[in-house]
Amino acid sequence: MRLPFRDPMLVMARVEGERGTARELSAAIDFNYGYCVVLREDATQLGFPRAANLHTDEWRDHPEDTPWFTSMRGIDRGIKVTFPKVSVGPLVAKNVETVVLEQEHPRFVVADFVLGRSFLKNFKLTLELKKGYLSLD
Amino acid sequence: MLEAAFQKFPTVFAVMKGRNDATRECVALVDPCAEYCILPKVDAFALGYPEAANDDPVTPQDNTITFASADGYGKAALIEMAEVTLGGMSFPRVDFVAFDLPQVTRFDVVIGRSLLKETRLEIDYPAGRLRIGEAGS
Repeated sequence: MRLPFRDPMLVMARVEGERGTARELSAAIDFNYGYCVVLREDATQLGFPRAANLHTDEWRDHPEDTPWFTSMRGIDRGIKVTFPKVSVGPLVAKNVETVVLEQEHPRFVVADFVLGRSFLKNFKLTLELKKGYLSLD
Repeated sequence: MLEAAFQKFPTVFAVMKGRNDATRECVALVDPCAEYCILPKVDAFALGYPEAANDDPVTPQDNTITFASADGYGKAALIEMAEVTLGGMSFPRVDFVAFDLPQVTRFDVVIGRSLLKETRLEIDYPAGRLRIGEAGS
């Protein structure tokens, strides 16, 4: 699948949650973010009501589902949910580990979802900026 | 052409040559999401870019830029590295910003699009292989 390269690299992703729920979300591809990232509201509507909790509360009962991870912001922590299926066009990944952001994205981030390595690990990525494209296979 | 294996993060061994002909060697994160390459201020200073040390908010240098990142807005000195070598490929006059990344990222140097625009980049996440070639190769 070949996409024109933009900054940020935005695509439409279809995220399928629990009990047949699904949402189409504007998603930014981030090549080095360990997990995918979802907003709290979207995770709740996709069938994960515990996403509405604070991760500090969730940690007490489910420490295994509130991982620490590093990003370019430093050390972050969030509630982990696993979406049964995330797709971008014909590309499909199953059981995609995603973290719920404790705070909403800063306003200058124009995406509702981040496609991180837990999604990208299933694909081969080719980038050629002079030709202005990114391909995922 | 440079080929390398990686486990979690796509990285390359980079040699940077400054305008005072000093060199620095490091393992660098390959991140197409980063508009510029990044290196620590102390290394920029040692490579002949003393303006990287200026953090006076009242009298910024002419080459100070404001950027947006996952951590909000920041300011950093934009410098032109004399040469960057990746494997057998050399890239003259590459734009870097002198900026100290959070230590927990475990990377000091990032190879961003100011260099990757001259290349063809392939990241095979399932196989854990990285390939960088000349653009059009």
